[in-house]
Amino acid sequence: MERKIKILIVEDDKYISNFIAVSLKKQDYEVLVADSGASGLFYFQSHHPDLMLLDLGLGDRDGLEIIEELRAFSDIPILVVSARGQEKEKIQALDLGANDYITKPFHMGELMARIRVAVRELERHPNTETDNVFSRDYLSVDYVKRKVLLDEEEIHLTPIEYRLLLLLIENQGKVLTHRYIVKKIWGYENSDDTKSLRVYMANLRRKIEKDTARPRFILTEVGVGYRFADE
Amino acid sequence: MSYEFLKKTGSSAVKTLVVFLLAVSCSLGMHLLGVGKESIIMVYLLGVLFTSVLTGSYKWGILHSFTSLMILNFLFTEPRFTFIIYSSNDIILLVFFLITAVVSGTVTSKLQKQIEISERNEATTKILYQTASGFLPVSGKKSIIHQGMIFIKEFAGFDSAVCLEEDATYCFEAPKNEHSYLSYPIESNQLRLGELRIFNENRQPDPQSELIVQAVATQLAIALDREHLYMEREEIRIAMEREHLRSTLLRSVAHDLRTPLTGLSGAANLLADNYETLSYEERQKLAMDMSEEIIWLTNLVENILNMTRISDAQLLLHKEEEVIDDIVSQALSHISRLLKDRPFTVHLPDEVVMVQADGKLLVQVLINLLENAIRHTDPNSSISLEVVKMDHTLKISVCDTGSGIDPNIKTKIFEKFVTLDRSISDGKRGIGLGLAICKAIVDAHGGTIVARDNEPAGTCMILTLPLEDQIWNEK
Repeated sequence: MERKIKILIVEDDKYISNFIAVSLKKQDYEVLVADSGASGLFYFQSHHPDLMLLDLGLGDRDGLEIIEELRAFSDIPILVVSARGQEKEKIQALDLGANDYITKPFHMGELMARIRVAVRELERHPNTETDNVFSRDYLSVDYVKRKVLLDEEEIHLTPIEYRLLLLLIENQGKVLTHRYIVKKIWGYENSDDTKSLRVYMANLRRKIEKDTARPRFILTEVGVGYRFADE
Repeated sequence: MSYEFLKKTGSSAVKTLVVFLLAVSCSLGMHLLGVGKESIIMVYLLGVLFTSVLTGSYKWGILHSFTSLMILNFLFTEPRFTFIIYSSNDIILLVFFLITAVVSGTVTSKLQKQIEISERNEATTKILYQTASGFLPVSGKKSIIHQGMIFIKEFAGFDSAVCLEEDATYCFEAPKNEHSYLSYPIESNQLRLGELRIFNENRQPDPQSELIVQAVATQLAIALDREHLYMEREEIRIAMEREHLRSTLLRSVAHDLRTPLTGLSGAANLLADNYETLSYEERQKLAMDMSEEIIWLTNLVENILNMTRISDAQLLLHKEEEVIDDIVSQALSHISRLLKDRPFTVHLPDEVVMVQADGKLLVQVLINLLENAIRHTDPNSSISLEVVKMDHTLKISVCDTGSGIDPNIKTKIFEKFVTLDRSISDGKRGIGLGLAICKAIVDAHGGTIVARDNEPAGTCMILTLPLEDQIWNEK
């Protein structure tokens, strides 16, 4: 029997932490609950969880601070839970090194999906270089031949679109902030000009999505960034 | 000053001399015609009067009197061409001439002065009246101050500046390298509002201009005070309106929260108390209902938040270039749980269309429109969302094939709290904030939103957004 994945929930609202804990236990995860930033850090040190669910609005400490502190010495996947309408905070959290975020109020199914992504990420990490082909549904990408196929039919992507697609696939399931993508693709460090990124993304989506209104692969997080659908 | 004086003296001297010479030549002429000296004296008397009137000064009249006396003596009394008088008659005549000339000259010049003063007073009164009434139609601090400076330039001939103390002594019309100025306080109710600065170029303003400047300062104070009061009243009015809106909002929110909360607590209690006795389907149905109620509550909260943002500061937009596809897909992902199996179609433009918009708010608009379409039509009527790029606008229409909008509320569906009417609010809930928010958001983006009838049945909500002229498309 394999070791259970250990998840640390840092959340000061007991109702929320309770229902998350119950649903996670149902999914056969081991769950630790901390109700403040300080105890969260303490549990982290003493129990070495595999994954952390962090509420940004804690009573005693700023969640962003905790991320910064943890990132100084740990790569633990951090899933941020934040209230709606705080795009700035989400982006900050992601830029500080949080792996993903979920917005309150959320559906349990959505949270579970995000956790599965993070867990898979954990397991995949050691051997990322093995696959030469990515394929999902009707989309497949051949890394060696640099070919993108839709239903076995090759489509043409510009070099930038191709790199965008690779970046998204590489981080599938994760939200990539506009700034992060711009930095990765164009190399600008501090650009707030995300207009061309949006255009490239829209074009890329037109090429690989069958229904651009309800995209299968490239999901938009308005005001934050993009996410490549994980499943 | 001394130059002015010399000039004035010179001109008076010339005038006096001219009148004197005229009188002399006239009298010589009369003498040749054989007119007696008793009559000739009248000519000189007339000369003295003229001098007094023309110079406006009794000194010149007196001087003229004495000179006339001398010349009369010299020319017309026996023995002629000497300053000696033989006849005592002549002496008496000349003495009386002198007295008459001096008295009448003095009186005339005094009268003259009086007239002048009263004329000047009348002009000043006119100016004062003009300045007082000139401020009446002017409103706005800047234009009031501007008007004041115009008056000072026009009536007193000075450049000026007005410095108000309320905004950290900000001066209007920056001083033009003038170091010397006279300052007059602008005061109302013993409260110093600021000061009026007159750039006098080292010359002392005469009492007349000084009076005008002071009057303008007073009028400025009154006008500024009036403006201040007006602003205060306006602020109070706005605050009252906001307060009213807020309380209406609170009331309707409380009402609208109560209904779904009742449903939620009922379903939850049922589940908690009778879990075992309920069938699997029943439990699932209850849970689904709860989840649906919660989506509605969530959206309500979002709308209320947006509403407070809107009424707080005319909506703070965080505009960015957004691709319309992103907006639509985000809205759809929110609404998909409510849509379920309804017939639903989406049409997006083929090219990439960018709009300058606050993405989150625009998403909210679409969510509200779609949610309305879902909520107010029966479950098998179809809904469509269409985005069309026009010449300079982007047209987004959300159409349903439901029963259309109730004609009673048709004209005011975009107003706040329309469905608050008790007769309908319980059945079809909704505080009617949704469309009001849509309108506020669309307005803030410079767009329009209207409701049309759909053919053959149902409603279309059509919104347009202004587009920038470029279309972005990669070759």
